[in-house]
Amino acid sequence: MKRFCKNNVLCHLITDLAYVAIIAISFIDMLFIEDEAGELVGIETALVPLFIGACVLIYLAFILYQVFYLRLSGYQINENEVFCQRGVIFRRKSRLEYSKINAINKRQNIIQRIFGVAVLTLDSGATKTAGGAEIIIVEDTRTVDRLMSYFRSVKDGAAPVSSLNAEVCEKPQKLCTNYYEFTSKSKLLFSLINAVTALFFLVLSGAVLLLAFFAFSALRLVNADGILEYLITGAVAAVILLVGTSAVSFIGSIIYSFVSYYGFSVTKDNDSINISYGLFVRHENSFKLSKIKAVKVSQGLIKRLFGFASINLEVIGYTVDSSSENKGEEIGVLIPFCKMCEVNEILSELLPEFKIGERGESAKSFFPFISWFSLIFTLVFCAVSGVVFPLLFALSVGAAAIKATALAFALAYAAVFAIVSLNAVLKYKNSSLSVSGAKITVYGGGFIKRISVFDSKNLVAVERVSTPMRERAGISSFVLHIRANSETNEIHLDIRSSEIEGELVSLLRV
Amino acid sequence: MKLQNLPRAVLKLRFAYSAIGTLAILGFYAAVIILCGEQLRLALGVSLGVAAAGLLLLIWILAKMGYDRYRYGYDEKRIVVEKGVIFRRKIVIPICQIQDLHRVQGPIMLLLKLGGVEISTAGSNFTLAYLATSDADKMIDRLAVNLDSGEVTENEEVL
Repeated sequence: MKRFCKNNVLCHLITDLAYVAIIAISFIDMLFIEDEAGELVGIETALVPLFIGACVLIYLAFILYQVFYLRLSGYQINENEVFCQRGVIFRRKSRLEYSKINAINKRQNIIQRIFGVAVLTLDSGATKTAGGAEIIIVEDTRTVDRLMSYFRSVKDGAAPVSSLNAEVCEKPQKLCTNYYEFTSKSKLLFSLINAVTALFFLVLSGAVLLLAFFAFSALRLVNADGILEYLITGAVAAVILLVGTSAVSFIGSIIYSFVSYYGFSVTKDNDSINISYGLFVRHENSFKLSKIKAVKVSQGLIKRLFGFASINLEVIGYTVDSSSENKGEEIGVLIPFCKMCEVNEILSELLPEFKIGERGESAKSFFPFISWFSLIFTLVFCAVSGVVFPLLFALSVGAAAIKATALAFALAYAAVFAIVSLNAVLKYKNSSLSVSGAKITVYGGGFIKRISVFDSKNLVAVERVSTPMRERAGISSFVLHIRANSETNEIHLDIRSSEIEGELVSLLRV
Repeated sequence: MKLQNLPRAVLKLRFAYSAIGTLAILGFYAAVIILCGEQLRLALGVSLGVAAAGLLLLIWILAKMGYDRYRYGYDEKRIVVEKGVIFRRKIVIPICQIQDLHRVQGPIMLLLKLGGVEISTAGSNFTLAYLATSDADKMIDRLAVNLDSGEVTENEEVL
């Protein structure tokens, strides 16, 4: 069995040092002596060697762990499968047949790049092991590139084992056409839209915070003048906070888009697709076109106002970070930012079978989108009020405070109701279904509009959801379960005629 | 396809779960009343008491109605499950999409000779809760035969 690359320990020498520094900073106040007024008067000299010793011990423990990890982990490439063993305390052995490789991803952060190390992950796409990739190989960059190329070919049953030793061409994907260029101008626009979106939600949450602040002030101060003063101070503080946070969000978003999507490229290589991006952490993902289960186009509220969208892929094993435990939380990106009118153009070049179908009929009725939330929210609201107000009376807090709390409650109710109603209107307008041959296009979502396109062969189950009232009205919602990551495999189709159940069930392969 | 109801023992199981829920709610209610001050006892006692009584009623009613509304059936092509009291669900799962089947049993289920069947597909997992142990085994055996003899689709990726 071949061991992982030794340089990985060197990478961890640096990253673990950063972790130890964070731990040390968190506990450093233990060394300082303060007087009764909280002023710093000296340092506990007796504790300093202990503190340094503890930090060194922690660092050594981290390093020792990495050394053991290196000694106990490794991989073996056999004729038909790859075997991987890793872990120190919890040890894991995985075998993956070449024919079952679903996605091949390469990941390299900036420290790993300095030391010439990269992480290669191979994923079978099995839902049972959706928590992480089956095979993780930590090797030097050249070996990882060679292995990537090898696995790409052997998963189709093409290359013999000997081809593993063949030299890999320098950056082979550069020879292919790049189907998308994420220009600096697009990145700025992308950042601006992200910042505006953040501002929108900040304004909403700011309004709710203001209401809470109002209620809190009302409880603390019984006289009305004091409440007004607090309210004005709160409003000014909220505005400053919003402006500050928006500026930070804009700058953060610019940095994020330039760093995360640095050198973004999408190339096609026979029947495979290769997606690469990232500056500090470089991702290189490769998978067969046939492994794509669905294409999801999403538009946030602000993106929709300006006519922009992003396109993501549903490929088991291809996610934002397939090597870590958060696999499956966010599906993989195909096109991070484009004009909505260009989506079908891009798809027809890259994935023609996933072109968005024409919108079909809209949802049957608006009322079900809001009815259940209204009922449950009102019941919960009444229950909370039923506990809070008797308590306020029992505590004899005074009429002014009770009135102010009641007003805050009413405003909060109205604010939440307005937001949910807006979301319901958008859901009602967005919901649609289009079936064209085997291709299914589902439109849905509220604030974030989502269009999912998939082939009926990837539909694994159909679920009809109704209520007694909806049954009488002949309407139902549907959940389409598709072959995909377990967190993203449900596509909701809201409030349609119950009659389409037969059509949906007939699309299932039995 | 003819759908069938669950065995009567499932109702006992649901009532057992409701009893556990009842004990938890009453325990929480008693703890709050004992721990709160004299001043708040009456206000909290009445308001939380009404909420707790409503919740208890709901738990027991839903246990019975949930049992009445649960129906399932299967043939050589698909499994159909109908369930839910307020939100009524009907799930259709083609047999050829099933990857593996498991029988699950908790301690109370063991006592009542009941078992659930967990159905894993390439996307979602579904649970048929609960069947008599013998029915669960029979179902798994029958479906397993169909799984083995089922034709492999072109998209079968051994997920």
